[in-house]
Amino acid sequence: MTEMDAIRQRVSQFWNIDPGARGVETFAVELRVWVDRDGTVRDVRVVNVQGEAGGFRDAFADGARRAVLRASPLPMPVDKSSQMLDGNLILAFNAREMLGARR
Amino acid sequence: MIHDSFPLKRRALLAGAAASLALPSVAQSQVRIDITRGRVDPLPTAVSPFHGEGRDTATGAEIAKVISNNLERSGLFRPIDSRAFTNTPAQLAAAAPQFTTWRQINAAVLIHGTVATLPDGRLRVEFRLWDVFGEAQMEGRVYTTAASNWRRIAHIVSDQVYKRVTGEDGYFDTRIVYVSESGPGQRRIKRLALMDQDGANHRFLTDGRELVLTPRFSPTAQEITYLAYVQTGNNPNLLRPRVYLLNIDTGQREVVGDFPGMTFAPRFSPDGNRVIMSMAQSGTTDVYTMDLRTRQQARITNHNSINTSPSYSPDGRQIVFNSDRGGSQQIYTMSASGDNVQRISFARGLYGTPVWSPRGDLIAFTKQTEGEFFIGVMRPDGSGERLLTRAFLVEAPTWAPNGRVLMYFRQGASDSRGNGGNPRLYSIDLTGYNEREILTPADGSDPAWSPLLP
Repeated sequence: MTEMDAIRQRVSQFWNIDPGARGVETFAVELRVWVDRDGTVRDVRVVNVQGEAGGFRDAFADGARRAVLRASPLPMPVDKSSQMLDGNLILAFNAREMLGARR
Repeated sequence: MIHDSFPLKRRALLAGAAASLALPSVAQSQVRIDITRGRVDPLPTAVSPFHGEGRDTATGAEIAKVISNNLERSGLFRPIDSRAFTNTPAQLAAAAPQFTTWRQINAAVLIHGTVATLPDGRLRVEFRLWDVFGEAQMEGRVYTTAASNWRRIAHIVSDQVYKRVTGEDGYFDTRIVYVSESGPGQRRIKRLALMDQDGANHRFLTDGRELVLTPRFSPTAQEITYLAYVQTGNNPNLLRPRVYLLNIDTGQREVVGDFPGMTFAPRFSPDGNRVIMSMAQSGTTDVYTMDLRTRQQARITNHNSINTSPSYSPDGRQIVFNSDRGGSQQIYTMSASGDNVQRISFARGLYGTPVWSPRGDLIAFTKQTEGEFFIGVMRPDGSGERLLTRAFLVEAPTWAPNGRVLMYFRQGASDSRGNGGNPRLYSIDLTGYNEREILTPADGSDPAWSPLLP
């Protein structure tokens, strides 16, 4: 397991996906995360969204943002944590692969 | 009449999202991590009793209970045991939630509110929905209504929460009409019954003297059409199918018409001006419409075969129905005037009772193959068939108005005297998860889901 996998796993644990939401497999969202050296999440902002605009896409982006906030503190890698400070951590969410297998 | 005032204050979570779309994409110095797996779990949700003084305290607790049960039943929310709650309803009414303590019990969202009886006797209900980890209000509204309407307010609040969190319209402020069945197998008494979608306010609409079938809501949710077998001459054994229109609010009942031969399953057109049904005449069964004002009939299919179970698309331009014209019972679509007939089901088995989703994107159906019944969905072009549930008998799928949940009845095998195998109502999510029995006082079949109440 790489150090990045620890963050990936932690956030995944808190990401509630609704597989019945219309178009969920077509959505993708990139979040910019402001995080402290100890992994405490200070702020999360949406920097990019893909998929048909509307309530479902907003709910998808909200859900991703909520997952990052709930996952705080993030398990920060010892050697790379300084690269992730000052909003330089980008978390990119999509459920394509996960839901593709179910359909 | 429920008065819905403008949102109290709404700080959208995504404020700023639109502006930041123009930002350059991820630069080299940044660390990017892809998150491609999540959990298909319900969202941990805290529903606090609504705060009220005196006898409003009890109403506040009841409102929260109805909301909590609605959200839990949807399968998308997991209400947290209220004994773990860290702020009292009065504290929540007085100041913003102490988010740290709600985070400790892992509540992702928090719902609370207040209830107050106004001097004129009406009820004022206010609710707020909070993003606990984002520490922001997601929704907040005030409703003023007759005190007896508290349950509807709870459903409307549930719909608001559901919509804000899932992005999908809610379906809690709705009713179900169905056929209540009691008595031994060969002398079954069938009565029309009406209830809220959560089973509350159950009442019977007919007394059981007539055999009733296939009730359906009008698009206004105030009228029901159904089929009854009635004695029209002197012979008590000679029953004719009669289509009725029943106003739920006034109890007024109108005969749409007596029809010769076998008549099946009238449904409303989306504009509510017509009913569509099938009738058997001289060896064939065809689809007909009847204009409810002029009572004029129009024949939509004209084919030497059995054509039944018509259901309109939500825009009223197309009709889905089943037909044995190709040698076995399959699903077909056609234009509202009967042109451009296309077969859409092709897999093994017999397909029946197609129902177009109110969302337009799917058609629910029943399928019979290898001695079992299934309920499934497919796209209107016939692609993407998915089977959701199976049993000895599953029949009569009906859509929640948001096109997300299906209700139907399920029945086991009965003995030689027709006893046992009692039909019961069930609901299931579009994903095939969260199948649940809908509790009714007696057996139940043929459910129909209303649109959202006006």
